[in-house]
Amino acid sequence: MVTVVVSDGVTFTMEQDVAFQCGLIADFAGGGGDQEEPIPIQAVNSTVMRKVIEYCEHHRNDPPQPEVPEGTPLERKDRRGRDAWDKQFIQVEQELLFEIILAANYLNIKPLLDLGCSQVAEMMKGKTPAEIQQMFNIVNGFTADEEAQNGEGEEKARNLNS
Amino acid sequence: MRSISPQVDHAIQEIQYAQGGKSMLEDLTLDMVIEVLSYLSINDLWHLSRTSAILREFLTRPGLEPHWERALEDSEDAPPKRPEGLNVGSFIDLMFGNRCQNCCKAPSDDDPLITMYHLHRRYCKTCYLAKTITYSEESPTWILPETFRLAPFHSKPRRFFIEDLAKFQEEYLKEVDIVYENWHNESNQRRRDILRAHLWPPQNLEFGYEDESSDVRPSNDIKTILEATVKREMYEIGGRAETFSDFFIDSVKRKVHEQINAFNTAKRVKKEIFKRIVDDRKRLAREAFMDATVKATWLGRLLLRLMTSDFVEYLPNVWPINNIISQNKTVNVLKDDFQEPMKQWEANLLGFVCARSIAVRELTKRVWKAVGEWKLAPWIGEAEVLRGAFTSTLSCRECARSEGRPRILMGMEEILFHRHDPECLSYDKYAALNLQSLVDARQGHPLTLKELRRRLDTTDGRFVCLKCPQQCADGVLTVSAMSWRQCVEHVCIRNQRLLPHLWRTLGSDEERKVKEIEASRQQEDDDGVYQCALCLPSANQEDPIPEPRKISDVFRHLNEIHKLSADVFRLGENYIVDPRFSERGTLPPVTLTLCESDSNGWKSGYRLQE
Repeated sequence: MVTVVVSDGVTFTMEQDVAFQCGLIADFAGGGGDQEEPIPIQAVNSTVMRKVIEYCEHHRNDPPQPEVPEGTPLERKDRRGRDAWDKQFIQVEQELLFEIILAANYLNIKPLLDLGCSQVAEMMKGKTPAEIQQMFNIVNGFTADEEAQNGEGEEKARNLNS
Repeated sequence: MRSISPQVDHAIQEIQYAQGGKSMLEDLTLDMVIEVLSYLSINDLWHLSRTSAILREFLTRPGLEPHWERALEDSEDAPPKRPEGLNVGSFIDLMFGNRCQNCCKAPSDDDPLITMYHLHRRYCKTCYLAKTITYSEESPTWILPETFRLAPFHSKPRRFFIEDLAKFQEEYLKEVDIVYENWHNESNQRRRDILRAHLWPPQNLEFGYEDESSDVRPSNDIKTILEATVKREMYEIGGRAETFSDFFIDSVKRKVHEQINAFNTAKRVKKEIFKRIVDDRKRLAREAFMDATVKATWLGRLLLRLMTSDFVEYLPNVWPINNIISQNKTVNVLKDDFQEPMKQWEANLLGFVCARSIAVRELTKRVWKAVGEWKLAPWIGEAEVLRGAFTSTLSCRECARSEGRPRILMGMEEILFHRHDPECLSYDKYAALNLQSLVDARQGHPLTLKELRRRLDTTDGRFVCLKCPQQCADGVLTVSAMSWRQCVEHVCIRNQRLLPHLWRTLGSDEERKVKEIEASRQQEDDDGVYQCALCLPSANQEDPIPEPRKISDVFRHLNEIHKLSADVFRLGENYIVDPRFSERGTLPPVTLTLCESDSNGWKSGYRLQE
């Protein structure tokens, strides 16, 4: 068993195969047996840690996924590890989503990181620049002329895939 | 929110906040952002780049070009490939921008945008037309080659950018060391033609191409043209192939198969055509062979009829038999092959043919050729030929050749009548063939045939064939004194030439005596040669033409045949003068007896006896 302590002081105990899906914990434990001393993880709070542990427990029996080469088409990349459970799992609020991404990056959980990034991309898909701006709280910073061109270019872009 | 990984460079640190809050994107590291970008399509990338100036600057960094290219490749609608030399941002802007790069106007229905990816330009139609020209609109000052017009890029007229042309022309003239003002001088005509024909088009110049969806660089290089055509087909077809390479391979395969099929089709058609030609030639050869065979057979039959005794008995009326059947011995070999009795009228006509002699000579030559060289076609029974199944296979060669008339196929009987036609049996026509020899015999050299005939008529000499002395029963030799027309006929019949050692000209005394005899015979014939008008064939009858009769025979004929008394005879009603004897020179030659003599200057040692 492996015990971790998150930033808000909550302690989580998990089985070794679940914990070792996190590269950070696996490196910290050195690949040995049970870890009696709690491992401090200050960059993750308990809410995010619960989601991470839930993900790891669900995928504890998954075979190691092969590395996807650069430039893989979107359709194949999207299918990677995104089953129905994953889609349901990642349907969270935007703030929690970004925390999960950051936690996955910190804990070195590549599948979870990919899942989070794909969810962010999913949120951007099909949105206009204005909708993206509103969704991610972005100020454009364009001049008035650039703004006009952007608005007209959207229609052009929309027609490309229509 | 605070970053949990402060040691990692933040990708986007300067994103401004819309509602006073902080953008979640700020906390993402570069790897995360790139990971997010890898899931976005080309449209989403375009939209994201338009969300803020910072993001646009970030997304158009050269390091992110692979993501754009990947997105472009993943696009289902196969957008144009990014032209070489155009960075991703400019390309995206060129592709998605919606304003004319010349006048900055927004497009409208009447003035749409035209994007020329190969030129890195996007113009409205007005600017495009203003800045380009077609070949037909070419100013005389341009040096556009003919091959530009022929480049098979587009069904529409190809347009060239004026500024490109001007720039290139300037460089080109500089390169070939020609002053532009002197370009159209006559001294440069040949040089200009050569340049137009061979040195153009330049391969390094990009010319306009009125195709909005094409990224093809127009070129007159055939390989480039083919590839460009394939690409354009890909855009037009759209989505048939998943990737360009697949499409290209399929397209090339399809083109190869089309070429192979076209080649096989052409090969098959050529073979078929060749077979037909051969069949046609075989058929024509067979028909020609049959035609020649039939002709030869019929001509042979005609000649053999001429030589049979059935009709010879009628010949003395117009010609001494000895002058006609001189080749009888040779013909007798085939005499038994034809047993058909000859009608009287047919024999008469044949007699005329013989009297005209040239027909005999021609037929003789053809028949001997036919007998010696031709065989009857196995599919034509000889009985069929003799029965007259092939009756319309003969034609008058003289008519078709000398008078330009169309060749009319005729049967045997038609040929006989045709031969009897005075137009076809003109003496002079055939006599002219041997006039020169005749002139030689008379030691004269007229300039023209007409003059010669006139002179011969004026001279009106008489000739003797030295090869044809006939021995009478009492052992005395006789000879025929002929006018020049009879001389020619005689030569034609014997197929001789009027050589001096074979002929001699009668002297003035002999000639005078002969003419006296002829005049007496002419008087006698004029008085007594008639045709029975009652025996003349009517229009719907096939009766033979009545034979000519002398006056002494007319009364017997009327009494016995028509049961009329002699006083019924009235010239012009019951009898007419035979027109065949109205022409001078048609009477048989005068037969004279020659006796041996050693004096009086007879050239051949004969002396004329009356």
